[in-house]
Amino acid sequence: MVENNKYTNKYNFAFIDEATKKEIRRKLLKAVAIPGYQVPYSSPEMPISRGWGTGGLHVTLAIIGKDDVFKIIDQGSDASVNACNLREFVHQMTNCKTTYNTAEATLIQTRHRITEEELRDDQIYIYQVPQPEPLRSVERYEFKTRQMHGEADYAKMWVSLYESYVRDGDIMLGAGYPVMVNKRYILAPSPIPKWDVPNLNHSNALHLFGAGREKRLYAIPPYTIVDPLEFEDVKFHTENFSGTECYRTGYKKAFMDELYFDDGTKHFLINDSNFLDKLAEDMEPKQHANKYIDQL
Amino acid sequence: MGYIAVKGGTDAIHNSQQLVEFYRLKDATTPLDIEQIRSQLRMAVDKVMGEGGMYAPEYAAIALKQSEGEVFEAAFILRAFRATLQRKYYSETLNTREMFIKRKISASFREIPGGQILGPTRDYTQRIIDTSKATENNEDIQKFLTEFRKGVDTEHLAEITTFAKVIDLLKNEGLLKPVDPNEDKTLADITREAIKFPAVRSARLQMMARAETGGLMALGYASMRGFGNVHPTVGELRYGPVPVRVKDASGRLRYIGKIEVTEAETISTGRTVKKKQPPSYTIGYGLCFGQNDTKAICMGILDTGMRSPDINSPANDQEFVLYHTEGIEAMGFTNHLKLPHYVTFQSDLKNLREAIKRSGKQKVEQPVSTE
Amino acid sequence: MQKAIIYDEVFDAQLHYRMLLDSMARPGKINVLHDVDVQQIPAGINKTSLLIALALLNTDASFYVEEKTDNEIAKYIALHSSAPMVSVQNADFVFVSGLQYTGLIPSLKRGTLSYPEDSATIIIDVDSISSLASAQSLQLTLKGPGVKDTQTIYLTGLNPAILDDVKEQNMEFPLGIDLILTDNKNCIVCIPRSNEITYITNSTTDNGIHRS
Repeated sequence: MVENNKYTNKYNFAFIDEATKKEIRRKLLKAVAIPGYQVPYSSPEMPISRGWGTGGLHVTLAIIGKDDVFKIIDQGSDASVNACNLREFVHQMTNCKTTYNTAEATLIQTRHRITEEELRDDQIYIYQVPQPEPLRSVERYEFKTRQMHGEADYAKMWVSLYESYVRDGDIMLGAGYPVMVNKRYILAPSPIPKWDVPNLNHSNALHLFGAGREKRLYAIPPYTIVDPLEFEDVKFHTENFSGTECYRTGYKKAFMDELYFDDGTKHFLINDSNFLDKLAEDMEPKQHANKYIDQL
Repeated sequence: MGYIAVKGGTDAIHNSQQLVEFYRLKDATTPLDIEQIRSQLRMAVDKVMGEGGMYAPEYAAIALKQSEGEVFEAAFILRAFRATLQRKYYSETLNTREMFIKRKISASFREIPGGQILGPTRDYTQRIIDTSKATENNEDIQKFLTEFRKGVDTEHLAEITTFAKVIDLLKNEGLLKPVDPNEDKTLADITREAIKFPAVRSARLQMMARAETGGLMALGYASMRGFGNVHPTVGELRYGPVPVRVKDASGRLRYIGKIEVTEAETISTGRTVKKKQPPSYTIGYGLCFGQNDTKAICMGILDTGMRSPDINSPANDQEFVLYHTEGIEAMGFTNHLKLPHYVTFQSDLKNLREAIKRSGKQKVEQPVSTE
Repeated sequence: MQKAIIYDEVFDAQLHYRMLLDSMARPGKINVLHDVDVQQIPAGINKTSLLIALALLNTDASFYVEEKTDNEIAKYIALHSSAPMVSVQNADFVFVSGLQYTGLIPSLKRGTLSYPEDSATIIIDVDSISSLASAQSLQLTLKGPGVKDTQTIYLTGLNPAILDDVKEQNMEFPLGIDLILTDNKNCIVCIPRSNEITYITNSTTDNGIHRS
């Protein structure tokens, strides 16, 4: 920081100025009131690159208070470089306590994962979203996708899923699998893997999504119906990890990273670093329950 | 064990930050003075201010120094800094007729009111590398300045003031397309709310004023080559300082200073929409901070293009032009590909492997290299 | 006369907002705003409603207040939040008394299909908000996103015509308006447009059985 008198610069608590915080706060209330709808917002520049979590940061910094406990993960890991950078920024600007422990956190910011450990109703889960528009793959124009959402005209989306099935025998969508929120809006779930998608349904926690570069905010309130798109005869399913287990804990029912060791052998390891640590220390973290995990 | 899923991230980024600072300073050369950058790298400073969306030459110079001359990065730093500043006032509309002209040219007329004023430009220089710059010293600079000042006719300095515009001539003759009464003249502020499509013209021009010069140039050029339909004549290009005023709490106009801007007004033949309507000219408008002819002219081309939307011509398509010339967002997102994506990739990998399994084949045949 | 109010625009606003966000995310959940020593507040409005105005409004968000005389409330809000007072049709936030309702809800903006958020939020003063029934209380039940099964609360000092008008305005989701109810004990409860509203007036006449 420049300490020269002429250029001295002081930042507000949580970096963002109060006027912008109020704007983001108002927009978040609308996002919650209209579950799954993308609310445009000013999305001021942050000292973090566009596409590197600015939307998630806007949400975090607009709602965080002195007593919050902040956790941030990237690819399921607390130690990922970008998560470290953002954690340090939030800590510098708020002096809030930070944690790796999912159960201890009041605000959890994420890129690409929901924690394996079940969320509680006193936690808010905040997503960094690169592409908020689930219809972008079938319609490139923003003014048209807005109309499609407005009229709940999702025919193009269904056709594209059907075509994928005809071509490859399955709906070939991976992370960011589109979901229908409250039977009304199709939403892009950040991109979390399909493994995490069922955990959005009837969650205890409030889920807030920030797409900084695209300047959109959206939300899934707790206890909201979230259905992955599927057909009567072609069902949604999560990533299949059958026949694999975590090489450190022997655990099977979690999203796994596929690792190649120096000798060329392949191993699997639980992706969620805090969940892994807890299992390795013989703690018993309470995992999300959903019908897909229960079937395993 | 090649994989480290431990808490090394924080150390890694700290070390990386140290290393990048080391690379900036490792040869222990004389520190660049901010005043030097501001004065001798004027064009870079202007570009950074334009794309950063903040008129502050000194801060732009600091940002350039901090980013080792990477203009994208410097503009980004300036914009992020700008976002922390409070907006206390909106300025009154700038009147570029009040510009103290440093440069003013028109391609459409041989003579214009006040004459053609070439001003400072490299347009008609030979781009031969000047190796004497390698050994330039303070004495050389003083010598040049003394010589230069000798050549200035101080008697006539006061004569150059402000001039009427070329478009006024066309307007008086009735050659300009009348302003469409249905055009939305709302003054948007793209820094306070996200742009909505279709965007009003004020929002389009604001987006372009902060857009990346190279991006605007690529699309403006494409338009002239046929991936668009605008090939204008430069009606007028002017560069110089313009006064800025705000209204204080009592409603009184207050002069707060001057900013340097480049303004372009490009002339194209307007499309005749209604039958039996005579043809007319339409004006494309460009305005940006500092001296940046390319940016102002390309803004003019794209302004005209976007006023006659055509989704078959990228340069006439406002969503295409405005989203993709936004340099800071484009840079951030293209670079975000460097972030780890192994979760989303794992999800794709599962899909692909299962699809291959379903197709009954083992693997996709790999072409064998003949070398 | 302008008198400084003891209100921390950073930290009080943040804490009050978090309560609001929680209430909007969990319709029918009663949250209590921590008290702030705000002096010389105008008559005719719950202090809680003013705290919400301070937490949410500024120059970029307009408001409308329905009041009988001399605009004391509007002046107060404008002075302390810098928000512009506009006509009822254009207001982002509308402050309404739960008992002296004059039927303005059908005039409020409900947004468009492409931009449903361009709609009003109403802050309604009631006398009490409680999870228990009392004499003359209105029993309000909510169902929808944010509510586990159903959520029932009891209100006094609310003209049911307000609820009828809100239901009417919220028939065509996503168009609609969102409600924030306040009482004079710093309690708040929210009803977003996504929720179904049913109510019974005089709930205690129902054999005196409390429902929750």
